[in-house]
Amino acid sequence: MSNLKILIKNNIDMLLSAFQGKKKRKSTSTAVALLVLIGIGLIALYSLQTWSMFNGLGNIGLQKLVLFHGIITTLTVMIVLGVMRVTGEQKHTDDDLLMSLPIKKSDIIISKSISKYLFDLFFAFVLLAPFIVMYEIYTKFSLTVTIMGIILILLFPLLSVGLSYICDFIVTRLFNRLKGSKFYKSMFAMIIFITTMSLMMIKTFGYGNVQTSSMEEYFSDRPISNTILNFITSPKFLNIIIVLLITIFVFAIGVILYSINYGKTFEKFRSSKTEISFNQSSPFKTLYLKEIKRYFTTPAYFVNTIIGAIIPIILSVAIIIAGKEKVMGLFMGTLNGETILGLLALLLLGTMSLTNISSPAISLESHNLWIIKVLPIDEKHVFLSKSLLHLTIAIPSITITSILLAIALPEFIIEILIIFGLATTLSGILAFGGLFINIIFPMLNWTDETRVVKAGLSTLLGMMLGFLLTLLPLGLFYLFKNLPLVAIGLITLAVYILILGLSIWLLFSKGKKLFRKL
Amino acid sequence: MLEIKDFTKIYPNGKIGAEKINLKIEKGDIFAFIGHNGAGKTTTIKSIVGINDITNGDITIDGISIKDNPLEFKKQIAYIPDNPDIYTQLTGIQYINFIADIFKVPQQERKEKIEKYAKLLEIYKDLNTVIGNYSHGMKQKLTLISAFVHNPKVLILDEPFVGLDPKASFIVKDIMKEFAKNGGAIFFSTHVLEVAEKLCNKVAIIKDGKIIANGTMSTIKKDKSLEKVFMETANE
Repeated sequence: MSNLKILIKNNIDMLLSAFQGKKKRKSTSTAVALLVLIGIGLIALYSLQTWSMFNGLGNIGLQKLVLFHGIITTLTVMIVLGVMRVTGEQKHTDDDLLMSLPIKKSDIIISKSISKYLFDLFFAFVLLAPFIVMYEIYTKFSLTVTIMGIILILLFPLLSVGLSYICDFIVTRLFNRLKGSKFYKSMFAMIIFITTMSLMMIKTFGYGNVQTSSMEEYFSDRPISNTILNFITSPKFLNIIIVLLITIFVFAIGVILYSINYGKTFEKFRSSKTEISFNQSSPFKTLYLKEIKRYFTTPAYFVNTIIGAIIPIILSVAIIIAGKEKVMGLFMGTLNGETILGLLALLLLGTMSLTNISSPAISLESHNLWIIKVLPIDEKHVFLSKSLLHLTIAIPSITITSILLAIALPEFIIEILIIFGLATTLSGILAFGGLFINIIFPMLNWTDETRVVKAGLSTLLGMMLGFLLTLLPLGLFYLFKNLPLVAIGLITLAVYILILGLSIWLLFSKGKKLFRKL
Repeated sequence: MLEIKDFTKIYPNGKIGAEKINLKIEKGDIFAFIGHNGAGKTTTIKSIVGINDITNGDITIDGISIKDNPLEFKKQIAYIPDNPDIYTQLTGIQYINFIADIFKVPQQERKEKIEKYAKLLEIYKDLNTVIGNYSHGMKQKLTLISAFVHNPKVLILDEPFVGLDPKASFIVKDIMKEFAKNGGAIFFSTHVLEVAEKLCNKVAIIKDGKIIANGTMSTIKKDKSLEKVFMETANE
């Protein structure tokens, strides 16, 4: 087997081991089955959403608009995936080992890039394939669209991987010598993310009001996405070149920069401060502050979990700026204010599910776990400090969002209060329940913390728990169509409170015993 | 002081890490724990400090059992691992303050201890630097300081001299002697038998999870070198 194949196989083994649990009691085939199941679930969910969009807009001749929206969404997600991967870490824990082996550096770079590419390819497929398939169903089958669509799906992940390498190069060179460099790296990635999401929202906000006659004007107002759309539907030389520039060229630049930095140790900030602080804190406060510090100085952890807390705030600000009428206009009068608020509630709950701070918290201890096991600390304080970190990020976001929604939609104060209650209890469930899940499925031997935060089994299960609980009010809505939304909200809140109690009990009883065995 | 009674550790895969270990470490002892790779040294040490759980038996310090009262037990000990994986995002002083906070060490006392040991080990000027920038030896020194900041009764060390330069090793040995002289007890594993021979008054040899020799250094060694005794007992 060539070295490249060995390295790729090694990366796949490490990814699968993330799904095999602590004791590897599950076999490799079970881990693969779990991955496939999660994949099918995501594809099914997203296909359903795509179908409903085509069912709405597609039936009035706006199929191209829906495909366009799919392209913008996929492009945004690819950029976000790239940014979320930025850690600014010069070295991974296996870099020294790999560099000491008789393996070409190019093989190491390629194998690491392939792993990232395959991960992003999955998302590109899930996001774009349903749109292309539905487009061809609602227009007519076209071999050109099919082939170009497949090529685009294969090209998109090159953008995300290349972008992550470029951003990593920039943050390493810019911030490494600064005091608090890790904090700046976290902020850099977050700023790019906010900018990307804001641009996407600005560019897609009015798409519900687009008519057939103004569709081309709408497209030309968004030149990059329009170019990509034409790449699929009517590929011309210029479109093809631009798409290749956006994808292959960015990837090539990224790989070159990555290989320049790879394996190198760069000078870091060394404090010249002579005064030593001997400040005393309480044991719990010191534990909590340690968690806070780790969170804000671990770019992979920070960027991959703060998104869920930021999106609702951005959305609420957008609603205030756009105004209630424009928001209602998005749905073309098909939904009333109360229902729209229900959708916003689902969105808030869904984004809280992305704020998965507790789910990798034990895994991130990794080789530091011995410290909290050796010290005279009650496990409950360890759990509380980690859960409190989760709530410290989630609760302010929920509060700000609720206040902004109340300003935008003052006639729905009661409903907004219920939404606040729902989002807060869901965050509590994820804070305590996510930690319990992580104790059952820890991933303590990792070489790349991004993998723990994004691809760890406990992270995925925590997210799935959040999404399932988010679907609960939707399920109740379809089951009890005559119930007012306020009643559905209150029933959901009651169920959430019960689950929260169960999560806390599980964590502090069974969780303690399991933690001692780690 | 530290008593290990019929300690047995069986891993979930059935492997016996340690079997019916009985050891007593008294005040003033510097106790060497030696054995070949995979003999069960780290298994035993990790069970003493609470990282691994115990399958059978018990471990007590002055009657306080690690099984029944783990928090009280851990307040009596300080552990220095062979590989000092500590929080790289904290500065040196933040890490020591973190440990001192857990043990509720008063501000003035921690100031005196940190200044004393940090200057002795020559890392005082690096205390404001992020641990991510530390070398292995510097991290080792930091964990040593964090061990002494809270006045433990028993010091448990796993290969404490790995990564230390000769000067630091010399200083650490002095610190250990002073600690034992002041009524503390030290239990440490090492592969450097010459150091164990010079420093320790007691020794135990472990092989395949069982203690094959245990006693004072003079009793175990007799008129041979510790290395010779180790090779003879290990080959039996």
